Amino acid sequence: MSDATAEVAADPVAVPAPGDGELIERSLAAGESFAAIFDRHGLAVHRYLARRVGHSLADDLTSETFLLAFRLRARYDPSQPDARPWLFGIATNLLHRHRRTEVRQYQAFARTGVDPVAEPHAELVDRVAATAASRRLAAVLAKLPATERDVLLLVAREELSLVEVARALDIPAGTVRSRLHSARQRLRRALADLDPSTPEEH
Amino acid sequence: MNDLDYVRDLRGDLPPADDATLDRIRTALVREAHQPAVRPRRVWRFAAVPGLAAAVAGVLLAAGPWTGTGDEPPMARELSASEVLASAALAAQQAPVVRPDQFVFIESIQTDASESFPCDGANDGWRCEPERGEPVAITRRIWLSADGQQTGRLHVQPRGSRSGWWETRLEACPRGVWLVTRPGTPIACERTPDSGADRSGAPADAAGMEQYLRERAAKANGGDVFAAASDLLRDSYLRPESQVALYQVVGRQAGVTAQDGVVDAAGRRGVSVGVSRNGVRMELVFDGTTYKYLGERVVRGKTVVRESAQLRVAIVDRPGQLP
Repeated sequence: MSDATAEVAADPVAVPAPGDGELIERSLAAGESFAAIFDRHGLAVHRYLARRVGHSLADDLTSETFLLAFRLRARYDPSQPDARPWLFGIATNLLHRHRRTEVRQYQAFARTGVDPVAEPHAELVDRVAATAASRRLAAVLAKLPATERDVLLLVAREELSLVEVARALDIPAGTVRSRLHSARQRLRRALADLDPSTPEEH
Repeated sequence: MNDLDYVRDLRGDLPPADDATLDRIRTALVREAHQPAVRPRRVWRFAAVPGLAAAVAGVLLAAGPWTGTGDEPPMARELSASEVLASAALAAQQAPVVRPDQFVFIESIQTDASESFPCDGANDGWRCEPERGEPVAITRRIWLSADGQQTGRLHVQPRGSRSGWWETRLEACPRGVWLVTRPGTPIACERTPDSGADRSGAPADAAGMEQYLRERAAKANGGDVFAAASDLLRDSYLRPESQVALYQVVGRQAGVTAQDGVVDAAGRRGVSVGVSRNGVRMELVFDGTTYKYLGERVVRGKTVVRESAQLRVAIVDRPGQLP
């Protein structure tokens, strides 16, 4: 072996998995590297979408989200090691085309106690009758302005920080805070007379 | 249970996407990712680099088919080194003129499975998570002074680490290039026949290039022309004409074979051209579609011992400047 190969070997130690930023940067030259982003976050993005508009629409929107993300990947800031906020932001934008579908489903849930989104999978889960709390919650979600609903669901359900939501939706963190505040006030009013210690009333 | 908990739990029991659905979405994504964004514009390149067409034809003539020695791994499918090198020559990029005061910037991923390093103790801000047997991988950004008279820079970071870049200055190294060892230890100036990263003075014809590589090989590579060619491609700026000449010379080396189905350190699929020395195969790796130079690998049996994958190469004005 020649000495020359020694030069290849700048050689520190640790090999944690590459961050999303690096994978996405790498995918600029080698597109297929982007598949690793899907492997990491595909399930979470699908889950986010499915919980908003149901499985069948979520299948298509998840695909659209990642195809769009792939095409926009040059705009991703590679110093951001977690691509989740970015992906949720793209998914949220795509959801806006289906706002009426989402709202109608919340309305139906609130009225009937049967969640149209969960129904196709009813035999798969041990379904309990919808609690009064969830029906009221669905009614609130149906009435919320879309911008507040986005913030509320990203914070409460996907557990994004305010800063991450701001990044995802490309709005100032202060706006995120005020939208969350407003949404939570409506929620608290709707849920006010439920005993917090026994939320599961049947 | 507060209001946010109610929101979190609503539809919390919805089953996740099944594997078939995820596979379908993933397949669509990978198909999209494999579409080359820009097709190679070969005719344009001929126009842009006068004399390249004739030189490329020379590669085809020079690199005859090679029949193998028996210590080569079986090939996935027939592919001759001459075809690969001719295509690589076609892909040689036209590049801007580099001024002596500028820097050659190269970003690459490097992996080294040949050694293991203790992880605690003398680490310079590395977050060490040793995994026994796993190859050591880093992202490496290097700024090399074009004329070798100025201080360059080297930034390295374990691949995927968020510990930040380990940065070091590359003091002017007029007589050679830098031998990077490990974090925290000095970087030695290795003697090589010429200084700086700008090799635009390298010969543009095969005979001249062969002589040039032989001289370099005698000084730094134990006489191995293939190794000298690998060195030249890795960390320097070569005119496209010189690259073509280099591929011609590589094609003439005894024992050069091609191998398909190679995946480089960045996960890119490609083909390699390499030679075996004492059971170790040294390879140059080219993109499977465009035949652009991607990097190199050193393979023992089926194990990749070392590899380097170039991600970006550019000419910049200042060390530390990203293109």
